[in-house]
Amino acid sequence: MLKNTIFYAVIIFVVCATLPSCGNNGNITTPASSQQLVKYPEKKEMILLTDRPPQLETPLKIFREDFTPNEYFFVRWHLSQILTKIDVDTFRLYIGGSVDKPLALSMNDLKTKFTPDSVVALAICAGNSRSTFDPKVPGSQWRNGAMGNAKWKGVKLKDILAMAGVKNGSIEVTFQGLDRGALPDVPAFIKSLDISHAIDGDVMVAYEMNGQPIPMLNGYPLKLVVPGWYATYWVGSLARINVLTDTFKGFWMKTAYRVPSTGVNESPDSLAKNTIPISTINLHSIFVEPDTSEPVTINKECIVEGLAFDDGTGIKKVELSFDNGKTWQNTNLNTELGKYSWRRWKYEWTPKTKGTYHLCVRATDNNGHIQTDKQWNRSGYARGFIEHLDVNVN
Amino acid sequence: MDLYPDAPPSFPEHEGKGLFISYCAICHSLKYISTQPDFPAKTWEAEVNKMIIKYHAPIDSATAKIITTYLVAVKSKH
Repeated sequence: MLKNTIFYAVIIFVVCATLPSCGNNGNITTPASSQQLVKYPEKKEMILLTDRPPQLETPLKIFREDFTPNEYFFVRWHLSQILTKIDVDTFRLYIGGSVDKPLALSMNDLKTKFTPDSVVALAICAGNSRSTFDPKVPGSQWRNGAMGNAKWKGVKLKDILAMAGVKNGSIEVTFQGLDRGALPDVPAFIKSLDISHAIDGDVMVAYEMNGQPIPMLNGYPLKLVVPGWYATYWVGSLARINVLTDTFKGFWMKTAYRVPSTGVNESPDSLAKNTIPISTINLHSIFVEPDTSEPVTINKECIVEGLAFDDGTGIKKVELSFDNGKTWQNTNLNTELGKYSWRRWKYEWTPKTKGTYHLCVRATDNNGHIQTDKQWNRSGYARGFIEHLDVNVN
Repeated sequence: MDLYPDAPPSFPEHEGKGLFISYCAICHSLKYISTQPDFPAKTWEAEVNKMIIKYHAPIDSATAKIITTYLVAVKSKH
């Protein structure tokens, strides 16, 4: 079977209105640049950041759904040569390196020789919400839409590694897709995990996303799913798994995607000297509703709603403030969809006076950690800052 | 290998535009630049150096200087 998307690669460009301003302590607003909406193969209208390689952001209104539809799921590639088609009959997933029996698994092998596993997990780009960093930092200027929640189905990585037989003395596992740089010297996109993480039973090689094959632009036919970890590890068009007896020294671990060793905070005036690879998802909560381009009416119920998420520790509570953080109210949490899913929060609000309200939202996790109100790092990673939203009531 | 179509943004006329387009667009579309905020000169210098040193872009130092000057001219606050 040949999966081919390029023949209907008609891309429709629409320039739409400026985003509603989303205050940050009332000072900083979302960039006033216009959004360009595009339709890529297998995708509906998404916000275009870049086209070669494609980086497409999910429009905020899509986050009203608990599971992000595949056709709206964000797209992020690093290297410009990505698959537009693949023959899955000849495709093989290669497992090699420090193993007893190197494997070349077909899609049929993966679906018939292993027990299927499934997990609901949030995929979130390390640089999600980068456009809200102040001072601004170079990199894709995502708003909050470089994330999506999906039900993933596939094979536990530990089962694949068990079939290959990991040799004693192995310490890391690397993952590479079929994407390539435009020039041979561009560093190959290869990510690594510690062996203990690779065999913990959480990490999955997925062949289905929300009950469907994974869209080509999201990594068809196989995608690594690393629940609770940033999506930089969720390697798409996964084709090669290598077990190492040494520490992996590739560019995308040793140079790129690093954060201060003391956490995801540093000062522009004194950058952290020591850095480590980014890893687990930072506690964060965002607003999804109300849509601030619509007026909110006095004495009428308005649903304030959003999403909170973390590394799998679990969301204990989400609080909302209507007075820029002076007082806080508890919101209602929807049923948990899974340890690694995002969690929806809701608050029924009936404003009694007209004017501008400065809303803020903050989440607390099951270990008692609470979101902070100041955060910056040079790469714009792991946004966990308390979000603000100005709402006008008429 | 097939590619998904590009929709090249337009860039202002200024010295260095030709070199900027021909070198930067080898590895990535020019949207990578048009969607960035304005940055100070030292940030653009660091970005161009990152492409050469870390991503091994085949740009000599004289060309890198012209490209940086162009970026500062069109993507910095003056």
